Order: sequence, then structure tokens, then C-alpha cells
Amino acid sequence: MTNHLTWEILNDYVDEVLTPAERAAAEAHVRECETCAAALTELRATVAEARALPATVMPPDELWNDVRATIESRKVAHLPAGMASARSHARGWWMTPGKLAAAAVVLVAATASLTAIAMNARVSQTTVVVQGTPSVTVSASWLASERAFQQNVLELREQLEVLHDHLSPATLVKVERALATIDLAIAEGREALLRDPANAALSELLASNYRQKIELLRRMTQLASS
Amino acid sequence: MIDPQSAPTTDDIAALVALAARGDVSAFEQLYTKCAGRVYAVCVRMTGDPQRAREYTHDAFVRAWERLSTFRGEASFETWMHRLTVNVVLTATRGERRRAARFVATPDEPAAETDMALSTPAPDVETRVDLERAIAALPPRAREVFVLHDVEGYRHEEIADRLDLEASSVRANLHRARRLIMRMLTR
Repeated sequence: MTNHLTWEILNDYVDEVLTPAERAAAEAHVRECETCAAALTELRATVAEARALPATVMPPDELWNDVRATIESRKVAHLPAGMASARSHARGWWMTPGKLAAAAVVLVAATASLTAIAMNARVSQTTVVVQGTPSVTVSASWLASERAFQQNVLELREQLEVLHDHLSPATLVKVERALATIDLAIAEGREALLRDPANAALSELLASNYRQKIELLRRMTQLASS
Repeated sequence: MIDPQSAPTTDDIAALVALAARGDVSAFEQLYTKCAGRVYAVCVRMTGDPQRAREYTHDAFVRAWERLSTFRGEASFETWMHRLTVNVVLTATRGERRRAARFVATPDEPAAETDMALSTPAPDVETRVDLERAIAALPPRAREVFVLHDVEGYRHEEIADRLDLEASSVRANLHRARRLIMRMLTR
């Protein structure tokens, strides 16, 4: 027998997408042709092996920690205390500029009571009352620093939003992960400072984390625009 | 209290989803534990690259966390998670192809790929490549189609829809993938 079944016919036969007439013709051919029968057997074996592959492959153990860090940081970055009910409206950090601005304002307002306590104890103090939070005595200069930081982050993120397509998804994932790690460190630094407001080392560490975030965003913006 | 050591029931899953949707990270961790192996399997087979699979698995769970409120329970959580994962992978790989196409012809161009891949001598019979490694070595588009069809059980039409391809192109990629795999397995 010389006119063997084509590779396409053999595959369609295995996938059961031939018409009844085509299927009958293929079956008749296979009954007579050892070559095509052997090819069909091998093809079926390959497909069966694929379908029998394990349904699960376990990811690296530490992956959950990365996932957790990211979602925790987003809670910190976009959902300051008292705003948890708005979580379903939160997005990743590639938000629209308008939403980013709104998030930044909320972040500044609602977290100022935490962040302002320790960073500059030597300057004049002022009392800030944020709706829904207890009034606390904070550093006026730190409030200004915090706003400047947030504004800087906002502007850099807006630039990155515009340049989004110039970076590969893999790079974006790495940047996002790095930002998540920094955000987590910032959040932990704030909590630590709240417990120990006079700790200068913690203050410097927190400031360093802020600078690191700005620097990362700045570098990515430069990379994307180059 | 849901025991993480025992297989969660449908009610358990619904409770975990409800808790996670309200911001309970521990509940989400239990959902992660339940689905991570399945999600990573899809990612690593569709990409053929453990590093990218790790990134996409991360992205899939972060996206799931952000979209839990849209989970209506019409399908199982695992099915919802699986579809979301496939979307994450396909969206990412589509973007990569677009970027690659700006500079060089995409490696998925049929003629170039077929000529190159099929003219490669079969591996030494002594060094049989296992199926997972053979899948990983497929050209990207052929690998996606093969995994979705032969491993995940999608139909031609579903794949055509998800990949924005003609059904004939799906079939051609599937047939090419099988031929290459059989050759790599020295069949």
C-alpha cells in the first residue's frame, strides 16, 4: 500500500474531528496498512502520555512568601488603616494617574499619624487630626517630607505608566516584586517606629527605604525611556 | 476553623473565598495551598521556563486576590483560577511576541519554524527526552496549543478563541507539536 494516511488525517482521527465518511475511510485504510497502523499507535501513545501527566507541579516553596509580600504591600500602599472596605476597588500599582493621585492623598492623610511621629523629633510639633483616626502629635517637617515623597512616587509612576510598553513583562514583574518588598519594609518600619519613636536607627532605616523606592522608580523610568 | 491538612469541601472553599475577599490573607493562603500546584503546572508547561512560570504563578495569584470579589461561584474556584492563569500566561506571552516582532521575525512564523525544527536531527536514541522536557523544547506557539489541547483538554475552538487564531492554525500547530515531540522522544 503506497498512499498512506497524511499526518493531518492521523491527528484528526485521534482527535475524533473527522467526518463520519472520512473516519470510515481512515479506519478501512488502517486495517490494511501496517505502516499507518503503527503510526497511529505511536501517536495515540503520545497523546495518552500527555493526558496522563500529573495535574500538579509544585512551585518553589518560597513563592507564597512573594505572593503574600505583594498583596500585603498593596494593602499597605493602597488601603491604609480604615480603608479595608475599599479593597475590592484596588488595583495593582499600574493605576491610572487619577486613581494614583487619589490613593496617594488618602495614603498621606491616613498614615501621616504613623509616619510623622519619629522621623524628626527635634523640629516643632503640630497636632494633626485625620478623620477616623486618633489625633496625634507629629512633626510638621515630616509631613512635608512625606508629601514630597508621595508626590515624587506619583510622578515617577505616572511616567512609568506612559512608558509601560517599553519594558518587558518579565522586567515589570521584577520591578513590581522589588517595589512590593520595599513597601513591606516601609510598612514594617512604620510599625517599628510607632513602637519605638525615639529610635534613630529605625528612622534612618525607614528613610533609606523611601530613598530606595524613589531610586528604583527613577532607574526604571530612565531604562524605559532610553 | 478550617483544617488545612484535610481536603477542603466546596463549602470550605466558598468560606475561604468569602474570607479572602474581605482581606483575610490566611484564608487566601489556604486557597493558594490548594491551587498552587495546578497553577504552576499550567505555567511551567505553557512557558517551558521555570523562572517565567514562577513569575506568572505569582501574577496569577496576585490577580486572583485583586479579583476575588468577581468570583461568583458559577464554576469551581479551581476552574476559575485555572482560566485566570491561562489568561495571565497568554496575555504575557502575547506582549512578549509583540515586542519581539518589532525587532525580528517571530519564531512562530510557520515556514521558518517548521523548516528549522523539523530539519533538526532526532536526538540520540540513547538519550530519550522525557515528555516534560520535550514539551518545554517546543516552539512557543506549538507548545501553548499542545498543552492546552493534549494536557489541559481544551477543544480546538476554545484554543482558537483564547489564542485569537484560526481553527486551522490551531490544528496545524498541534500536529506540528506532536510530530516534534515524537521525534524528540525518538518515536
